Amino acid sequence: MMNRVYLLGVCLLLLGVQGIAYSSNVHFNFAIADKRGDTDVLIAEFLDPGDTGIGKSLSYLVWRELLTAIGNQTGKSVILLNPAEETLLEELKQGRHEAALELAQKYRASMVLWGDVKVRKSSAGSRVLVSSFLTLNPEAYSRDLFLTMKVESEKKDYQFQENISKSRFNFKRFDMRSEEVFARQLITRIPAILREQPAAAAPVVQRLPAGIVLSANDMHGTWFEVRMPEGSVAYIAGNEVSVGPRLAGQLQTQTDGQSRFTMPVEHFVEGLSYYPSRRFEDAYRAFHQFIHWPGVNASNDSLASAYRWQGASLMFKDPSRFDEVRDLEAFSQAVALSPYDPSAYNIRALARFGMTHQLDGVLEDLGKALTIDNKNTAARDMLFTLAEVGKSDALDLPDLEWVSAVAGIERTLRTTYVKLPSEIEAPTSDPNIEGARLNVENHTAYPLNLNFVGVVTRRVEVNAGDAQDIELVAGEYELAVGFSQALQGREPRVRPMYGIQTYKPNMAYVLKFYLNWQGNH
Amino acid sequence: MNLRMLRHFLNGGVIVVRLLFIVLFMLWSQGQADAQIIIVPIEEVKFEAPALPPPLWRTNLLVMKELALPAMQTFSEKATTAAPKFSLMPSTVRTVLSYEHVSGDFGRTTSNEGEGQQRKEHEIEFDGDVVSIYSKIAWNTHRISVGTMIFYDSLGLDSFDMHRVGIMFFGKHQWPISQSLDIGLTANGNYARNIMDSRIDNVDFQDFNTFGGNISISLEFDTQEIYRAIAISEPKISRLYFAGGLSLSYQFQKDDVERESFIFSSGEVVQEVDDQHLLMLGANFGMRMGSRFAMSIYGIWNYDATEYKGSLRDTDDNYLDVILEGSWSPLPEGKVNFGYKRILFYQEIDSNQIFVGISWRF
Repeated sequence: MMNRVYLLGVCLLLLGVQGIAYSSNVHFNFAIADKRGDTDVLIAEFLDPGDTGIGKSLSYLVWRELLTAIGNQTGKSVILLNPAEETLLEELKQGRHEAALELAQKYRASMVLWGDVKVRKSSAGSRVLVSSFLTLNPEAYSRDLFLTMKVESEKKDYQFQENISKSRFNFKRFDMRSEEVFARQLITRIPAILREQPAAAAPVVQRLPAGIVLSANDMHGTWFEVRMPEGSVAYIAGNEVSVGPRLAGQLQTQTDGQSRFTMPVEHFVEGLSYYPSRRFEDAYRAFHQFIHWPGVNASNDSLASAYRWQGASLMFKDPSRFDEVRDLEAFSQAVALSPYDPSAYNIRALARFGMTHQLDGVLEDLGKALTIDNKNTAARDMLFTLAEVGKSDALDLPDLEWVSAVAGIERTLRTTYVKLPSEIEAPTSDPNIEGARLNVENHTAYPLNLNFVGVVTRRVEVNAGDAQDIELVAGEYELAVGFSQALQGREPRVRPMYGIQTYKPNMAYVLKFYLNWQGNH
Repeated sequence: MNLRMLRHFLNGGVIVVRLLFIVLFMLWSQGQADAQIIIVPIEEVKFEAPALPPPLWRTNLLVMKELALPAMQTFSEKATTAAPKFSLMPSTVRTVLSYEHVSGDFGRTTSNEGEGQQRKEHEIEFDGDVVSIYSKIAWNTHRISVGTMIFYDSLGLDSFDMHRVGIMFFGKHQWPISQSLDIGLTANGNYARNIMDSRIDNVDFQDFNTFGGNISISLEFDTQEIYRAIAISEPKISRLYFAGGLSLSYQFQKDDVERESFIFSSGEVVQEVDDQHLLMLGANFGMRMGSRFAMSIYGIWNYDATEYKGSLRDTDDNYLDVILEGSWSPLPEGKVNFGYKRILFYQEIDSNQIFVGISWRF
């Protein structure tokens, strides 16, 4: 029964509707943006400080390749920026993503691809070094940059999300042999003319019908240099040919039988183009090609992002056949590549929970994310939601102290609270105390919950009228103090306290709590 | 004051109860010592016909206590009162039932003993009971309150029976001038139908209608926002525990009958005035006790500025209403009010009233 319901949810999701899963009286939905078909890729110039001429040709080549790759999607286009018309290019030279974002907004593009080109000559031959940068326009990508889950319960709805990736990428420099940069097969897409020189006024060598396959080995500006059967060369205008990925075996680096574009970043762009169109299969394939580009020189961050996009694509590609071990592998690879990044754990936790509705492995990942950054918003949002939903029978949330403490802090931050002072007055020094000691006196008529999130995470309950010593590792802590909600009844809600306090080593602090009426005088 | 004592105090402990009894006893004793007072003077007595009770009998209290002066809110009530947005659903509904015992006489009238017989003079005896009920419905926004009240009084007095039913429309605007102070402007218009039956031989009282209006300005103090919170300091008595107000009000009243009065001592027949002008100066002060209780005291000085020419010309023209009121909020939305009122410093009439009311916030 559950499988059928889940299958229905997946079908709806693929139709651009929120996927629906069901558990008890709580619904978990992956919130997925409506299908978009207006992706525009803006290719800014590949800057060429050595004035080798390769930059302009490469820009043109990438434009033509991406046109071939994603131009078949309805409503999508690839724009090649005219450098003469754009002053922001100067700022791009500084590698400024802000300038790229301005360009994206100006041209209403979803992303901007740009880079720079250098040529290094040696006795082994010359090599072309290409750095590439990609800036996504968050406005255009909207919710697609996130993996978002909505939780609908009878009492309240919740939402938590994590970035699938950041929106700015600096790809590591890519290195090619000079003769490989433009070597590829071309197909005339219209009746075309081969000329003696790369100029429209040059003498005609041969007229070709559409559909003729040519072998290019170089570019001059926007002209491809084509080797003729008799060994001479001719030139054909770039706009007269279709430029596809290079076929398997065409390059020395291609050993896996896959055809590829000139640079790995183009596959990344291709995947990002397919994803908002809900063409998850194609997106998965594109990211796969990026990831498995032989010897890809992507930075760990970029590669990890590609894995995350691939994981998301795979998850939505065919959710009915979701296999936890197989399909989360991409997210695990992202974790392995960026174990320092809390979002890598969060996205895996979110995907795992979203697809299985089980907490196995989820809390562990969120715990790791918070170990790296105990203020990580996404992890805390998710933990809070799970704790809230866990109050019902929809989730069997284990009674873990750290989960309760983090949820307690988040619950307090979502209400109107009274601020705790950052300093506790008159602490006493005691060399026998290893860390810091808090003597908490509860002068109210209700049990008091104290949630500490900091160097360590603790949750302590002090009974009404009691005093209790709490030993903590010295350091900075968020502290939320409140009553359990069950005590509220029909009474006016009691505002909890929240603050950030620093406890010094070998110090004893006294904290007294009362229940007061307060107001604004 | 240590915490234990404070809790006693806040929970309506011994001290407060004793104080309350002392004040009640003083009021009662004062009433026994000088029988007097009454009600706002009023209106005229029509020759060969009616002498009527003060038409302001009820409306003056409604104006000051229900509209112009701020109602004392318990901690619980105030903490759960959010600034409402206007909606067609009323914000509050309140109904109050009261019983009042009145004694004394107020003005004189004469009876027609028949042709050729000398007219006979009678004091208008006010000994008897008054049962009243009124309901108030209000639509509140952050600073504006509008609404209506309907009221009914049944007066069973020695000289006459009377039934009064009426309606009042009101509006109030408040301007905050600090975290604790508001200025309020209240206006209302009211109408009442008065049906009278004489119990004096050979005297007939005439039914009549009254129309009136009122404008009041008030200064009110209370903490704008109150909430209960965990704190790291001991509770202490502060301004949070007190609220009150001061109000000045002018009321105009007019009836729809022409009256003449026979002045027995001089044998003159005079035309009685149709209009009444009443000034009221009121103050209240209250204290919250615990989360759900509050006590407050009201003092309303009433002055009838009308120049009566007939049977009411020698009656007292001012008196003081004193009210002690308790409030209990068993639920955040609901409140019960109960209290005692008496009239002081009025020579002719003595009056003691108890009341109980219930309010509900939506």
